[in-house]
Amino acid sequence: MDKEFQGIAHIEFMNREGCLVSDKVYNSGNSKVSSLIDLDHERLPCHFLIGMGGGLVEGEKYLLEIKVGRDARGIVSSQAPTYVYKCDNNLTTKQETNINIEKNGVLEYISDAVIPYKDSIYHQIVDINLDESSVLIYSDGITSGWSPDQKKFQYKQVKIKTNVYMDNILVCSDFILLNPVEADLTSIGYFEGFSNYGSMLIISPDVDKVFLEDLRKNVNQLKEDGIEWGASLLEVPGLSVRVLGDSDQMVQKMIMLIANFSRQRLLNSSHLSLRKNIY
Amino acid sequence: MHTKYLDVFQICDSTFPIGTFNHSYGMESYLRDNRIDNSPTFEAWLNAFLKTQYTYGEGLLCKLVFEALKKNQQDDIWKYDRLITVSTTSKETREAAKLVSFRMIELLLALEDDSLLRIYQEKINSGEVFGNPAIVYAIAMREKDLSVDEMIVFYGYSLVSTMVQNAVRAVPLGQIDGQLIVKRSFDTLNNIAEIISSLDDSTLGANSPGIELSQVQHETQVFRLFMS
Repeated sequence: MDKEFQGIAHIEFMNREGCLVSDKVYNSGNSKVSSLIDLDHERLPCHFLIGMGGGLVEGEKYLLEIKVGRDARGIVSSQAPTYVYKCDNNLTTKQETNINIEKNGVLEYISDAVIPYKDSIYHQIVDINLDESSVLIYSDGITSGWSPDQKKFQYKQVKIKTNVYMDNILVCSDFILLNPVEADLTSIGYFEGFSNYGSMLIISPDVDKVFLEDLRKNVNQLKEDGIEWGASLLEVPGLSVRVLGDSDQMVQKMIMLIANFSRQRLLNSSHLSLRKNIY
Repeated sequence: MHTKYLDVFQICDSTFPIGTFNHSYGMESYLRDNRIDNSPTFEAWLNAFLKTQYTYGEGLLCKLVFEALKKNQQDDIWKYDRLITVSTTSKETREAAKLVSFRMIELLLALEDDSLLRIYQEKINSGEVFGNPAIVYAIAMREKDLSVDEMIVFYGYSLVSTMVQNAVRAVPLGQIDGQLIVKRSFDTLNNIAEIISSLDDSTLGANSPGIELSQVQHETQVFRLFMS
């Protein structure tokens, strides 16, 4: 195993003569990739990511690689939220993710939120390379964290940067930087009283103004009260979503609402059931 | 003898007609649901905006473009133009930056010819780059012998004075309350210049959930005073 990383997870999705499969799935260290998960409604290769250590320890570095071949399709989700333990020695805990989607490839990546413990420092860098014909439905999230005294935002720093490249040109950089030491994150401009944040990228040649307007109408009819959200178009066909809510469950419900609208419209797929209790 | 400062004052004056006063940077979303309804709530928002979007956006751009020009590395400027544009979540906010920078270049070129600004204008027109007001400003100021700190606080001042005038009209605030907020922003702007001095291009474009969400939500606001 590469000593640089405490855990590596690698998944490749292929299209073998019309058959959608996953291949070259391997893991090492504290990362584990589940065997194929059987979805109720669809025959699509789906894997869950499993953290073996219960959480990420100070100074640890993790790598996730996902490849989607030409005309292939796959789903990746996490089994549970990712806990980031305290960083008493000011060492940063890092998650690096590389995603490659080839021509006409489709990836749905729906992850649970990251829960940073008191005094933790967490940096997440996600680099996504895709073709203009590819489809991506991506989500991640961050919470107000965990602290023994139940106070919110007791972590030191969280940096989450998701770069999307199309034909090697940067077309989107979704970059959230949270410094609770320097600012009161409960206030206006930050989390504004909410405790959970979710972010999504929906990229497809078929995402345009009409798609966005229909998404807004659809989601506004179905969404719960007490949640704030918004979506805006990217510089390439695609959109970015922001969600603020009071619980992980509320934010994940919104993410699934948006993911399901998108997969129905863009992929003609039915409701995604990941069989986690809250969905 | 004092011409360099007069040139800066002219550009950083909130009456410099480049349309900045048409934009609220998401503030109007908070006005509509009364989360901004007086002087303290407006000031809290302004401080959050300065400490997030301004610090890691246009403030940091001033420094990065200044350094790229010093090293004569023009390609870095065009790289930052893309980076700041594609890391701005709200399309409306991106369009606002493009519009303001376009008008700013036109106006500056009418006042004084500048070969590099003309190159920037050509690249914007050909679609090679997007256009950002802080890049225009840093290019225009390159021979004025200003320090990076001065560039950051002067540009920050122009934003603060424009936003305070917007708030005086829209919240509304009293004129004296508005000027007190401007005065109190000076410490914040100086702190920001100090923070930026230790940053590099890896933090360019960082932002905060609320600031981004308010700008995205403004796109669907029906009744509005501001374009963004």
